[in-house]
Amino acid sequence: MLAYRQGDAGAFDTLYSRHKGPLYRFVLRAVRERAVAEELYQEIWMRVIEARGRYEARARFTTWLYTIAHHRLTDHWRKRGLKVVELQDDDAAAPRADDPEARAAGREDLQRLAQAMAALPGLQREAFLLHAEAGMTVAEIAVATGANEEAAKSRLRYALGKLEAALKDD
Amino acid sequence: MTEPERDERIAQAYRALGREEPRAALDAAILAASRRHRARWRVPLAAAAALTLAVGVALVVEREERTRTEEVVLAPQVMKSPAPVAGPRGDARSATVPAAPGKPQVAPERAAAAPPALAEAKRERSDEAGRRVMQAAEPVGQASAPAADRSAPATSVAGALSAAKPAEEADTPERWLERIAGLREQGRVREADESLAEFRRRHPDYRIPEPMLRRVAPR
Repeated sequence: MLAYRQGDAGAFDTLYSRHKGPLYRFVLRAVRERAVAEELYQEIWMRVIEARGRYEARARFTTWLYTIAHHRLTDHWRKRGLKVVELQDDDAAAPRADDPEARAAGREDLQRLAQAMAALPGLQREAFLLHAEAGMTVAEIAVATGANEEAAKSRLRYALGKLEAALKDD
Repeated sequence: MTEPERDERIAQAYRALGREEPRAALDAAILAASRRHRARWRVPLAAAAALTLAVGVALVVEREERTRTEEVVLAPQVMKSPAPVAGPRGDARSATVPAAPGKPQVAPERAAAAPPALAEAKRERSDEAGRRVMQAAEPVGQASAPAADRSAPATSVAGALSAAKPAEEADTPERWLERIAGLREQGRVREADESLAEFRRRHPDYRIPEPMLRRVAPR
């Protein structure tokens, strides 16, 4: 990011290719609507581009990137009337029960996990996705989401507990 | 801070959910935006460099001009002393000031004639200085041209340089937020929304403290 900030033409392309998949899946699984996810995803990168001159290497670029993503998601949820804590059935990211590929592979775990993820409160789901997709530690999740470490740890632990229970629910 | 234990079964199931990637069109749009933004950045930088160089050259020329002016002012005084007049009488003066026919060439006339000569010399030097500034600025202008071609016409350079920064951009985030809170309290919802959106764009990673967030967030 520092190289990009200093005008290195190829630095952004490198950054983008490294982070695009995890960030896209993070957003997609957080909002669970592909069209909305694409819009938010694009806006997050636009903010990265616009804010590059103000980037300071105080934290990992990943943490900075997901901080921006968190703010954008928070704005999005706020606009939608704080649906952050609502449980929704819509599921673009989760495979449907009649998904032949999932059924053929006998991946019950996969469907259970998707359903359990969808049922998580927004902040717990976000903590889990930051952990699973961006590989963040509790401390980094705390920074990215503006929470204290205890809260971040608690959210992640609850999320993992619920997902684990869903998978063991034979 | 101890990390919660990672359940391998969860990690495995999560990986099996799939590795969706953004569409190629989305990638292309973002990468293109990054290039456009880079080009926009370069134009003001190139313009600032050109301006700095031009000002620098102008200062040097001005200094040189002052030195030469001092020489020219000194010249009539030098001419008053008999020693340097080696050639035929009046030669030195005729080089700069045409002799008035039938009039005796006396010292006061010489002194009176000096200012037009000085003005002429100044004008010539001024033209020369102008040419030199232009010459100095041209290569820089050419160097910046490709960047300007990519994003904006050359006229936007002046615009970019002269455009005043909005007051809120010059503010600290805290003062900016205070102003947004003030707008909310006055019921100026639209202005508050727009200012908050702009704030988010300018400070995407700024964490708004919860009490302030309650004051500035849309209700």
